[in-house]
Amino acid sequence: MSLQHLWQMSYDSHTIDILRNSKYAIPVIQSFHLFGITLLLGSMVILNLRLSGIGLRQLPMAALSRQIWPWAIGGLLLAIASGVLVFVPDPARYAANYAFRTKMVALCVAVAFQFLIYRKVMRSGTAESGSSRNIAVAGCSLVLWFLVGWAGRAIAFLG
Amino acid sequence: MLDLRLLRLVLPSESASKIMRQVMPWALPGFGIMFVTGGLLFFSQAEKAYTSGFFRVKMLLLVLLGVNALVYQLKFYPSMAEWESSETVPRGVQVIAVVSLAFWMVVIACGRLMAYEL
Repeated sequence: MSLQHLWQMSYDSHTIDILRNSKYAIPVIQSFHLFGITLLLGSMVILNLRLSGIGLRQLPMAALSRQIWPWAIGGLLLAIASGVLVFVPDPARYAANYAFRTKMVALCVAVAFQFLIYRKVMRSGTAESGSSRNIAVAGCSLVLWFLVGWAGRAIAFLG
Repeated sequence: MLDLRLLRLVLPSESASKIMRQVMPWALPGFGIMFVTGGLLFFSQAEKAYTSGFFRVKMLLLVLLGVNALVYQLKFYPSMAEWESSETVPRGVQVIAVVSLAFWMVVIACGRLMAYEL
């Protein structure tokens, strides 16, 4: 089954009609999408400011990472769940949108980067100092997550 | 995150006043950027925004959030050294933190809902 079939099935589904026909469903779900993004990006800014050594230097990196990480994951899951609900009523339109495609690619790269490279740095025990490697990792993480956010915003403006 | 710390939901091992001193220099410029860019967006479609109920609620809540933060600064901030060492957070601080979290969420939702004709 091709992706196109899947989008068509999703479009034709009666359950999803509820989302499509309600005046309030999508705006409300979009708001929850933003709550998730706020939690996720806020967490990422805090962690990466500290990791780079540019800010929050008086807070220990290990404790900060351990404590903030669950909130970041919670934000990510909320954003993904609400994002899926916004996507399914009109999948073909989103799938054809270049900003949306960019967002999905950036999202996959950002998640992979965060779970593989960022966590490796955290486990290495060398995250406390703002070394040039830590600055690079923090910079990459922030650029990736803001690219996801910017591409998401651009969906409404670009074809 | 500051509100969550005041409620002891995150980083209870670090003092709230230290976290506040470390985070506020980043939070305030963030607000400044949003204020300026938000102002520009407003002037680009002032009438449409001004007549939107969601926009009005958003602006009202931003003012109330300012008052909320001011109450904290005047009433609880000066005595932080005394109360933050104990496990129990003063009732007033809890209320301020919950109000702040709730209002910010409504501000976000109103900003998003403004774009729709509801």
